[in-house]
Amino acid sequence: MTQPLLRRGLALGLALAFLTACSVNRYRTPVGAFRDRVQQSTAVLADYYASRNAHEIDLYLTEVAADPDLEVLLTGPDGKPTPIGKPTFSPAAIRARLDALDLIGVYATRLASLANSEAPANFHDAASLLGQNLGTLDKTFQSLQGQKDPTANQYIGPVANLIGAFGAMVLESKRDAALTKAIQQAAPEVNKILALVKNDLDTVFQPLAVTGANQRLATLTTAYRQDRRKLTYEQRKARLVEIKDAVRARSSDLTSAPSSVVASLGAAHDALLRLAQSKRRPADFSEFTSSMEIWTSRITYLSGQVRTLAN
Amino acid sequence: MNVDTAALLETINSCFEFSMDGRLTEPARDEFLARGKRLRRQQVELLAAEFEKGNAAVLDANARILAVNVTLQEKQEVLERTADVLTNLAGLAKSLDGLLNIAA
Repeated sequence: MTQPLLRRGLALGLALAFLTACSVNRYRTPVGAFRDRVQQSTAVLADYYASRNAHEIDLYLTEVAADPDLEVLLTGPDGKPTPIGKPTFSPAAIRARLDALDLIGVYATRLASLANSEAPANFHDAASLLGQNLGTLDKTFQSLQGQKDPTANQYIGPVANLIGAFGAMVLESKRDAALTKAIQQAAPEVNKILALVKNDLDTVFQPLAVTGANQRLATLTTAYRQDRRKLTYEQRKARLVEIKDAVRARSSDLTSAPSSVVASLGAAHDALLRLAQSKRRPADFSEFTSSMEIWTSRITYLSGQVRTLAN
Repeated sequence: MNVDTAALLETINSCFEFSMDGRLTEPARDEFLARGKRLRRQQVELLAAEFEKGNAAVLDANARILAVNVTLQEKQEVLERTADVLTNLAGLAKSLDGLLNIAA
């Protein structure tokens, strides 16, 4: 009689402890996972951005290799710089966009710190929290205006507001309430920044990636057509392997992959916001979990493709 | 105000596709490749260019891009009127050069 009672008591105690732990930590896992994926997304997008100028140089050198009349030049006969004379995509503009994504990464990290702390200390002011680079990012975008960066001005407002939101993240005693408030306050600015990054990828980077990939294939096939009778079997095989790689690089899945990662980041953040606004019952977590799964698979895909293209 | 870069992208891709189309003569394919390369160089510059709202040169260029692009989607017409299509592509490139000269 005593033993079953003890067992029931122990089981009840464990269940209560589990429920309490779930209640205390209910934000910890989703927010921690969100932070990790933001960091992975930023890293893989940084690799992608970095590969864009290298891709333009490769394309230029493919043209030179295919046409013996062409020289390797820093400035073309038309007086315009070639891709090796001046990067096609401004490094300053790329850096500013990566910093905007880093800002979202810092936001995710602060949320995770908050979710992992029982009695979080007050956050410092935005400048000391973010450092000079991110704390003045809105000024960086202002300076990019008029430097052949038509979308720079659109970043200024949301970036400045998100920086402001960090200053407002002064924590009070109730962690969950603070987290909900922080997510709700930052959500509109995070969404705007992600929409701008996605728009840049869709309207600037992706179109050039698509036409660049098609130009490379067309150049290689034309050179093969013109040279094939002079080539040995081994030389033809080597050229055809290059053509096969060029065919693969023009797949639409590949050129749209970076934009998909940013879209998934946005969808996961929306799901996090809905989770914050819910009663956070087990069913409320399922939507967030599925959006994280899609996002993870897209990060993995882009990471693999960027690595392959770099080799 | 912006140039219709979506239609321009289709135009450039069509040029490259026709450069690999065995139904065309080799000189015609070489011409399509050259036109595609020239338009892509302009695409790189146009994506960073800004124009005033309602700029007549932009409106004219967009109309040309659209017209050339519509023709390029009609593959049979391109095969039958290759010389005309190549001439129109050269005209489009010239028009975009003029546009880039006035870009901010």
